[in-house]
Amino acid sequence: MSKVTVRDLCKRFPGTVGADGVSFDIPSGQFLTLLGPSGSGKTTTLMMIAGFLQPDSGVIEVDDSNIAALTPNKRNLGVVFQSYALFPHKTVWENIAFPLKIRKLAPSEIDKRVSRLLELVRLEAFKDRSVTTLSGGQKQRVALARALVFEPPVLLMDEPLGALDRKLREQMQAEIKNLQRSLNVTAIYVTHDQDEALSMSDSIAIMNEGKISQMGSPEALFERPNNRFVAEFLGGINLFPITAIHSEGASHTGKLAIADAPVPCCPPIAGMSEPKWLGVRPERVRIGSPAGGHFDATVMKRTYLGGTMLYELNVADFLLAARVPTDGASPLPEVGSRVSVSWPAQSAWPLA
Amino acid sequence: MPDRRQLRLKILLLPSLALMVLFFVVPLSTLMGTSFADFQAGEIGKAFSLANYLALAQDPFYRQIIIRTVLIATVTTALCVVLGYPIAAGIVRAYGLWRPVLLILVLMPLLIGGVIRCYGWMLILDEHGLVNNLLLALGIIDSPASLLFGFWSVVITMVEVLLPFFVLSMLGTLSNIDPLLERASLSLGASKFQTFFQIIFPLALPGVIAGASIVFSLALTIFVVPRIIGGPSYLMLSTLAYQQTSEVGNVPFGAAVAVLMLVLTLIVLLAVNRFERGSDLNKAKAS
Amino acid sequence: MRPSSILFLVANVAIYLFLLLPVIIVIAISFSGTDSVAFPPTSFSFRWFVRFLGEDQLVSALMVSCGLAVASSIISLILGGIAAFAIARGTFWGRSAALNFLMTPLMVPALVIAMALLEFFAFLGTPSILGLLIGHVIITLPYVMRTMVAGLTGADMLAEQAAISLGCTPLQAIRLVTIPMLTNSMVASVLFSFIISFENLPLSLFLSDPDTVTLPMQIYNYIQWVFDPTVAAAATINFLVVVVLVFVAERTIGLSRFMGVMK
Repeated sequence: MSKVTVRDLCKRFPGTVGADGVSFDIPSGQFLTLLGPSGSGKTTTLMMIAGFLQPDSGVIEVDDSNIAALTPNKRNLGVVFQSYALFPHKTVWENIAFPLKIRKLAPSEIDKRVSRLLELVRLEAFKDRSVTTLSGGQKQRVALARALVFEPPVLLMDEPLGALDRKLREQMQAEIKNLQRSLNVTAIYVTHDQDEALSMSDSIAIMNEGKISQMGSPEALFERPNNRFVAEFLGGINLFPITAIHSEGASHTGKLAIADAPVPCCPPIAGMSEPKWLGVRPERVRIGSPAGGHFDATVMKRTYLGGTMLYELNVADFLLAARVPTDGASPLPEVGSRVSVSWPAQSAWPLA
Repeated sequence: MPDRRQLRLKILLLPSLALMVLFFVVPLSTLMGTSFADFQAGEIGKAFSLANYLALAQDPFYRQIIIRTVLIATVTTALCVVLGYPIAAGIVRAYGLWRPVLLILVLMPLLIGGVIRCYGWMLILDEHGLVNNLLLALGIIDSPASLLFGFWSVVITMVEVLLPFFVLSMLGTLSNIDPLLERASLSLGASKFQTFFQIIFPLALPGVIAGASIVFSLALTIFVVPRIIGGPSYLMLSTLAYQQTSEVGNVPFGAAVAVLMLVLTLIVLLAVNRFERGSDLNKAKAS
Repeated sequence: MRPSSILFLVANVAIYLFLLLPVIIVIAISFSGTDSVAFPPTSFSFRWFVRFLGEDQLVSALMVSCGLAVASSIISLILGGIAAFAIARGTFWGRSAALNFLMTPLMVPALVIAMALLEFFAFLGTPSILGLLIGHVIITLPYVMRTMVAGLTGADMLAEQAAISLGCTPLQAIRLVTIPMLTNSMVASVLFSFIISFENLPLSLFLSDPDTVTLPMQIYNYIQWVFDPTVAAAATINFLVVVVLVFVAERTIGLSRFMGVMK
């Protein structure tokens, strides 16, 4: 259990940005997710921390000592790879014992530690099996056990659930989280799956073009993104073009390009450049009877999604999305009907 | 209907099978039969005789040729493994345009053929060749001497001629090894040295054995290299067979040498086959 | 770069040099301006190529080799292609035994095949050129089999079935779908056969008569008695033939993918 500090990490590749000044701090025992589309620099950053890529510049500290110059085998960090990277010629037990044998631990100690990890990942019955005969989920649990058995202060995971199907992913998310908590290890997790990031992380760093776009708790990022990229990447969002923001004391309004009356919104974040959009999540859009909201729109399409109904609404040729709960408490207008559109002021974010 | 289709497909096999039986199985069987004929006063006899095989086993001259052939094949194979492994590993690691370029560099000598490469080695090793000129210019020797017709010249040429076979048969196994395994091993604390010997090499071993067995069986029987570089005085089994058949006219003895080469090749192939089956068994036990 | 990577790189460069050295030497000597085969050559000329064209024996050997390589690869492709089709598409008993049998010439040394055929053709009184052709078909057939069976057992069975479901007769499906899809495998088969045939020495050594001497055999004869660079010029021309073939193959079918076929 250790804190991790990354300062101004840069890596340039010919023709592409790798990482461009990545900095973050992770308190001891916390779970940080690097979230972003492919090519955003999240895996590059993780591989520099693991030592497989040499950074052009920057500092990587674990408990205040810089490890950037160490070779990967001297860093003592647990790494879990997307393709598991299990040793196919070794059994489950041999795979998990490998790092302990390398560290020349006594056989009794190796036995004790491997057994404990096997128990934690519930694979005691499989210990003498060849890893090539395991299912995807079992392989991933072996990979986790192997990366944790030598009690590394930090666990690095590179899209570890990418190869699993949806149901198994959800189950493994919970298992990884439990292991991480019970062993109290600091974790850095790379994924492009926002649900995974939201459900597992203590904090998320959203990466774009080699930079961290915004970092914070899952709630903070979802409930108040501070730029358009984060808003669009994390959950869907309606982006209304605006021409101006007016502030009168504590109340703020935005002038939409598509409606006459100003609509209520949050205050812009201090120091941000001139906002060009108002962002409103489809979940926060309310629809009601005509003339009862900020403006009126026509229902173009509705799609039943189980717990919610997804509406596509048209106002002055601008299409917006709304998600309405199908709990019977909200009206569910038919295609073609006129509805009013509104939202709470704190759910409309000026974005640059 | 499906039966008729299967019958038609079987008919398609007939021409090749007939060709193989007539011009491969029959001639080889005849050759084996000839190897048991006796040969006296320049005439091939009709009687069944083991004389050719007994001579091969007992005559010190022939025994020396057999030992020499096996020794050269062994040293050649060992050197091909040592030199071929880095080449194969380099091709597997190469990315972009490098990969096909390196592959073609390995394939090219193979496609050009043994005769021309042996000619090249003659130009390097003989009295007026590159090596002698180099040594003369450096003042290491005073008068040039041919380096041909000896153990090391044959081994060097043979390694060069057979190296591509080893590299090509290694490539499949090596490229099936997940490159992340090396990273995983390093992240678990193993050094590069430990990673190679505990993770990568055990996984590459089937490829190494397959490649080595191909090189070994080719080295036992290759003709071009011992003929051109070894010459008539430094005989190996293949050149002995040729000499006996074409130059001495002792066809039965040549045939016996050919059969011996065939048997040696089969022993190598069977041994490797057994090893492979053994490792499959181990895998099955583990699962 | 870490020291181990530098060592690896240096070792690789050295091994490639070793591998290519004899070919480089032969090519260099063929452009020599002097009469000797001493290396390095002291002046440059094309005279040995001119000399080569004047040497009837070498030119006719080149012709024999080309003709033999073309004929044997075409015959092997046809025989091996239909046999591979039967093995890949059939479900009858003994398919894999048949395939193994057709691959056995790979396991028998070429010299042994040549000796066996010498005895057999002498008994039958077969003309030399026909004997050579049969011998070359026998040694090239396994390469065709391996390439074509691999090509046919790919996923393309489904495309054949799709074509039949779209109204093709089975024969039309083969002609319109299967054969075009196999172009790469066929090109690779012909290429490997051509080269295997073109560079074979033992068969010619036993089966050639004075009119059917092949290029490798003629080069082999020359280098024992003639010490001028004419042979090097012949070898360079041989090298160019191979380079052109490889280049064309790499551009059209991506030769590198077919590497596994060479043993």
